[in-house]
Amino acid sequence: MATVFRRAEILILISGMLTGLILFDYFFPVPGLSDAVGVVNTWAAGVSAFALALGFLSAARIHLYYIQRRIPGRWPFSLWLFILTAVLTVSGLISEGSLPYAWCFKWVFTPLGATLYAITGFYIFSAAYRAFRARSLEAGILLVAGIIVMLGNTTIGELIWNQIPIINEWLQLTGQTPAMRALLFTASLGLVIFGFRVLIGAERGYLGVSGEGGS
Amino acid sequence: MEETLRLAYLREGKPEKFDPKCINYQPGQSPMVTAILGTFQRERPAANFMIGGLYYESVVIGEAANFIGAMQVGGTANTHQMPFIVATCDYVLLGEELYAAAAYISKEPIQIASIAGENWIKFLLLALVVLGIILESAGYPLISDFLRW
Repeated sequence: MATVFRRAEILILISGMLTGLILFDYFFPVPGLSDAVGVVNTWAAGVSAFALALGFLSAARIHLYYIQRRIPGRWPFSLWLFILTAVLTVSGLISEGSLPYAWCFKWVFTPLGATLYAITGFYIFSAAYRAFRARSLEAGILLVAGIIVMLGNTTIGELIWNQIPIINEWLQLTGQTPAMRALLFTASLGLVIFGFRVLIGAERGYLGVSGEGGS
Repeated sequence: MEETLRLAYLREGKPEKFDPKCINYQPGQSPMVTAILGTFQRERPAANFMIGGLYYESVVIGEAANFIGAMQVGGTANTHQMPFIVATCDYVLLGEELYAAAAYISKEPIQIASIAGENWIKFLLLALVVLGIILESAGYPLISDFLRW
């Protein structure tokens, strides 16, 4: 029975029907159909919650393996993962405002996330250094444009030459915006065509099943 | 995910090489970045494929992969992350290229036909844009009125 539900035809039929339903509702809002699409969206939220649980089971399997085999440098962290999961799950079930749950989020998770986000600046610096090396005409144009935009966004730029902010504005509005819009426009069109391929079952890599219809 | 990878190994004739433990689930952006940075330092992968709706992690992961000398393929339709992908990756898929990549690699006639159809729609829309500019400039806002309708 399980293999029947894993057949490509069944999966394509379900995804095709749902994609068609949502697309039809988007372009032709029919009373009643919108309610059905709302129900489908609620299902999507439910499926996402299941995916979270499935993700944890997958992670748990790997970390249990590390603990059982006492993999050096890994198993203590895996054990720590299970201890934290248990503490946070129990305290979260009791109350979201309970001390261990709120404390971990406020004093551990949030500062760690902010720290990681802050180090992005250093990575941007080293990426910019490599990108701005003037090895070709294009890289040279990028370098000049980058310097003007950087100076244009600082007060010293205007002091060096009062036209720098104007050139900066031109580069960002007249130079950058049309290019970004063209990319967005073509990407949106590509996404619609991709959705159409999913709808007709031509795109089936996401299913994890073979193209011949078997599982 | 596991089935997709298992099938990919099977199709390449190396099912014995597949190890489910190589798939790591990371629930969130910052934990994912931390885990990837750690994996790069420990295992020194030869290649990094970074494809999808990327955010600030694109530059962090891209640069970390550069430090270890990994070959990189990056792809995103997120316009704000495209500069970082271009700056850090060896090969890039930008915007619509991302959605056309599967068709290009598989060479399946239906997929190739959908890309050809997309190009025709693009030309048609481009012609409509030019026509709209001419009509609007001449004082006949037919197309803009139709779009507002």
